[in-house]
Amino acid sequence: MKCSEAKENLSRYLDGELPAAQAGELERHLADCAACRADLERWRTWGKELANMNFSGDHDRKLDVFETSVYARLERGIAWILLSLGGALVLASALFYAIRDVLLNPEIVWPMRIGLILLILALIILAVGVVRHRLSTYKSDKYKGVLR
Amino acid sequence: MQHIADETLMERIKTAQDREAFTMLMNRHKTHAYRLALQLTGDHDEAMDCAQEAFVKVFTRARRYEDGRQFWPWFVGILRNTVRMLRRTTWRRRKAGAEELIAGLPDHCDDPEAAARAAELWRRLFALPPKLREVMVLRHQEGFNYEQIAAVLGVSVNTVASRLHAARQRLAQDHEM
Ligand SMILES: [Zn+2]
Repeated sequence: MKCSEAKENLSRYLDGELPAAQAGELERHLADCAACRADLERWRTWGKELANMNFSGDHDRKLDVFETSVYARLERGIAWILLSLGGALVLASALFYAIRDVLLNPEIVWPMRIGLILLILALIILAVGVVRHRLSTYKSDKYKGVLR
Repeated sequence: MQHIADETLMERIKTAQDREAFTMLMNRHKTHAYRLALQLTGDHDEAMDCAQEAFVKVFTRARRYEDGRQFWPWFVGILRNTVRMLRRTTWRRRKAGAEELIAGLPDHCDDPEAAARAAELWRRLFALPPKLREVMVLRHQEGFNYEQIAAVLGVSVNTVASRLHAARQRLAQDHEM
């Protein structure tokens, strides 16, 4: 076995994910290759360092109120849903009145009526955009990790 | 008080939106969740944000929790996804490096050389692209095997293997440690 071949398997071997047959072959190479042995040893040391590491910081206080903060977030989430529902209802009624009282009223000058049509179109386009964005983030969220 | 398994607590949250069970679950895992988020993001505030948001999802999406599934690996998947979403939508650009974090490494008071080595290792780890960093963190900090990592990331076991290989090679690049 050449070093280049050994290197390909070294990582799997370290993680205990190399099938026994290949592992045996690799071990024979390791027995008389100091360079590959050194690589393996270094990677193993790093693994231990990463496993044992703790960062200190000033976040202990934030961890103390962690649960309360999460509940506050949950409530904010509910508030947002209510807010958007309420907003949608108010907007829909406003549109209804606008159409009934302005668009269909021949006494109102035509620039005003055309302007209103444009405004309604813009609102619809914006709403569709928001909904589509919501759906796409929801999807990629649901299929976590999305294969690629 | 007897110990109640995470999975039992999840059942209660799922079936009855049990807040007591939810509080217990958070209390048990918040520190671990925060530390993991810290290693994934490299930033204290972002880590706290993600850890809390991930628990919000645990509660609001409890219905999607499959019975009998181990809680922690499921949670790690949610947390990692939250980190990824934040990275995608955040308007803040990542600060160069993670020096602030590395400065907070505990002193190896007896061994300054070991401290310097650890700091260098973390500097390099945070310099890796997120895809390579996260496999290292999941492998070593969480002790997940390839199959578990693959499940969290939604990729194949072979992809996990090659990312870990690439990560280790990149960490060893430039100069010897
Ligand atoms: Zn060799």
